[in-house]
Amino acid sequence: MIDTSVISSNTPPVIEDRAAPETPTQGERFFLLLAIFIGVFSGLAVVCFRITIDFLRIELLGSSVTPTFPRILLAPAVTGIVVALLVRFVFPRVRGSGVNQTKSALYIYDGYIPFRTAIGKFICSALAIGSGQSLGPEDPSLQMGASIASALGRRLELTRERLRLIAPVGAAAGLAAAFNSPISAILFVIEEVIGRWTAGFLGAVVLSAVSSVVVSRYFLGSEPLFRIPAVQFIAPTELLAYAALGIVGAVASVVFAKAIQFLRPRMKSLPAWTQFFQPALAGLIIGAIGLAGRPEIMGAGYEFMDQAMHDQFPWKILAILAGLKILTTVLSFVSGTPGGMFAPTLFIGAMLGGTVGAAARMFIPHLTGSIGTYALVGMGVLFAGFLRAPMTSVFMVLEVSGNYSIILPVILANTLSYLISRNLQPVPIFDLLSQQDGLGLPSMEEQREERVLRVEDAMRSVDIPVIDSQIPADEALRVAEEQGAAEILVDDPPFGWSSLTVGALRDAVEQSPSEPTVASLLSEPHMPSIHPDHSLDFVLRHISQWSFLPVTHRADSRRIVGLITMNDVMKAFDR
Amino acid sequence: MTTPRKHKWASRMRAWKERIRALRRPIYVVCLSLLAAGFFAFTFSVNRLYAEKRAHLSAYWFQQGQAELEQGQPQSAIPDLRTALLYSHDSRYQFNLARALAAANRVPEARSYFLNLLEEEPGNGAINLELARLAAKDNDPNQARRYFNGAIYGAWDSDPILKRQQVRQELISFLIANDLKTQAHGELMSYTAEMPNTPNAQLWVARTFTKLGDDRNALDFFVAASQTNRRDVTALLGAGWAAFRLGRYREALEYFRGAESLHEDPSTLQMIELVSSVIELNPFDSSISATERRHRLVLAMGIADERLKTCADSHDVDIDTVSGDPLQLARSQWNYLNRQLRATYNNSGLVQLLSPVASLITTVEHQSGCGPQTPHDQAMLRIYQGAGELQR
Repeated sequence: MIDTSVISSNTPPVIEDRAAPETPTQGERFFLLLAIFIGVFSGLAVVCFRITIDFLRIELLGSSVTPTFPRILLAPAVTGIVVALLVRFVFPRVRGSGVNQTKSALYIYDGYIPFRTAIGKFICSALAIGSGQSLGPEDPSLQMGASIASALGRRLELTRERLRLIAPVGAAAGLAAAFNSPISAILFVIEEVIGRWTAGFLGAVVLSAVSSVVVSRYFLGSEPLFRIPAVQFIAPTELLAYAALGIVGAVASVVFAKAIQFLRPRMKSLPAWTQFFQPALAGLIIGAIGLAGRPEIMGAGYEFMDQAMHDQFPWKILAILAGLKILTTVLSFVSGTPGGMFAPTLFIGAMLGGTVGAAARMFIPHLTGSIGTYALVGMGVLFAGFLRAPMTSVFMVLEVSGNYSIILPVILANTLSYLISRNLQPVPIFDLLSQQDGLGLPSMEEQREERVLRVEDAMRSVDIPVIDSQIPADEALRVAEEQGAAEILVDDPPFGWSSLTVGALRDAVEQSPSEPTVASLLSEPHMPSIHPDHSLDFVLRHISQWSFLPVTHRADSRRIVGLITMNDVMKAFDR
Repeated sequence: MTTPRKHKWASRMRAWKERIRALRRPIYVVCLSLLAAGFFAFTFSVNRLYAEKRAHLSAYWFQQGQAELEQGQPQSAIPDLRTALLYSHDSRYQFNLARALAAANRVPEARSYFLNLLEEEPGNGAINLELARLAAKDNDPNQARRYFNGAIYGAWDSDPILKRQQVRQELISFLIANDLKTQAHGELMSYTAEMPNTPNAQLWVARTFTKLGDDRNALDFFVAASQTNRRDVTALLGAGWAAFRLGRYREALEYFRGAESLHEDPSTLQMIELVSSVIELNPFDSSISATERRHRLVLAMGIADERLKTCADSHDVDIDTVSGDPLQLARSQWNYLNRQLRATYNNSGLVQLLSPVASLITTVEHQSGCGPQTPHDQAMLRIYQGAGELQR
């Protein structure tokens, strides 16, 4: 069912393009400078957000790493009601994925994300995560960054095109500060939000991500998100164990995604009054699991991922934690509690990785990789399988571990996980969420996979006379008439290729007293250069002035390899 | 007049607007900078509060955990130290958490933390020592020795010399427990080169040499300990025993008597009696005359005769007949040697008899089921068993 309330409430005011005329260089420079400011503001906002989460956790659950009764039950449940009220009455736009809301801003709302969303995400997510809901701070950080960027862009009267792009710039800054990993954040935004590389955009994203990481490191320290133990990869046979991890991770990713796919629309379709209690119920269940002896699944769980990497849990506990985290994250997320799924994804991956590593050691005791290595690779595996960001998943693992010796297992396991989960769950999670919300956002995965039709798919062989421009027009006419052609293709070095109709040629021959050459009859401009690897979109942009275009060889522009007409293009699209 | 003036004002306004419009970007940058500075200042103060809170909480939980660890409650200390670690990645916290895990017998978890710490400080003596202890718990002598050596040659925060000595002591004990006596002996010799000159250390070294079967060095260190503390009964007894085992009976008697004078003890008195008997009955003594040697051999043959008779009675064997019983064979040998002894008076002949007599007496005294040994039997056994090694 489409959530029309979200759509209507997301409808922004019409943004006029109020920007004064400016040179492109001036505008680009200002955009890049603005990216730095966006990075600084996002970094500061994320630092405040992280501090607030920690403060709230201490106040709500107590300062001990293992919360005690009755706080462990009451904090997530009561805070759940508060969060539900805030979401319902004060910040209705904070429900949902920050990634999708940033994409909506980019593709639907001309870069518009209300600043109130940032405030709402800050308060509601901090309350939810601080009280122990099984969600992470990265997605809200991403959205806060996007919101700040959007607000600044509107205030500073950017052009519509730049305003549209500024939300992803802020998103990268927010995510970079949250992860303390600029490369992963940049790649994620390019891979999952914007889906393309352009020099201007890439520069802005890099500047904003770097400046936000500098700010967050200044306040929170330059230590990576996880203290990675010594990572080593020596025996190639160990790749089998990592391949198994890729498969297990893919299955877990699919289970995780399917559970959200199944439960989310059902929870949303329940009567409106139940929305007030859904986060509280999720919180109560999470608290009960914590009380039953597994408080590790509460909150983002970074400290426990760290412990898993340092071989602090037996494999059975790791497996139980992975299963419980899937359950609790699904509950928290489908109940409409604001918060992200990045940290839970990493948590599940780390626990699964640890489990597979421990199991592998039982069967092959001489394996060199530590449990920490498997936990680390497991994080990437879930990232690739569940969030479907394969490139980001590889770079994230490398960035947080700072060790390239692990690259082979990471690539292998992540690729397997990505491919298997794509087969088992064709719709990626972000696309799934946008579909459930009734938003027609472009799927980055589909875009990546989309087959580009090229000239070579549509061109045909040369079936008209090819005439040198220096020969007399009457000779050219004779050749054309002999072949029964209506048009000729003229080779006019060094200017390129042109064409003449037989009618025009005949008129010129009949009316001219002298003997004109073909070259003297040609009109400007010459035909554009088309090569077999050009996309048909490129052809469509140029073919309107011509009845056909010659397709030339890239290494020798005078060598014709075929012809292409509008009809050929259409036929190719029809196929 | 009014219209031109209005026009003039309007054009001035337009000009100002144009100028402001031209300056809007620099103005934006200034405003953004001010805003960023304000936000930064706010975040800075919030972060300071946060840092203070974290420091307070980490210290609080660390103290709790530390206290519990010292009270021998590692299970309770673990969550507290983990909480401390949540608020600060101080290596002390990690170290103590790892110690608590090790104390709670959660060896893999403890090792993982220690290895992590070792990665940061490969030369840290305390971390190496803890890893050595874990390897020792896991019965992995190679790893244990590696880490013990890391601890011996590693850096220590305080009292490095004392700590290194203690580590070496621990290593030696570990090697002995794992029956790596040659390596233990080597380490012990290294230890003696740097050991403190205290009676306790000397006693420890002496006892350890004893465990390794090196009575000569053990005697030296027992003597050294008794000289450092002249009222140390343990050192005197140790020296007595070491000298006794070395066959230095007169020295042994001296040490046992010294110990007895400081602390009366029936077992010490027994030893004095035994050693005295050994001295009196020892025919191997190079300082005695041929007559005295013969006399001692005759006494020894007499004691053996008594023992043979007792054994024969216990086993109900007629030793004066020959039917292949070990006691009857011993009796035949006794008869033969007794005849030899009766006929021998010169020293060289008596010395040649020492070995067969020693063999006979060892055989007789080792007979089982012959009742308790008298002090003389014990002395005989002591003298004649391994006779070749005894100092004459």
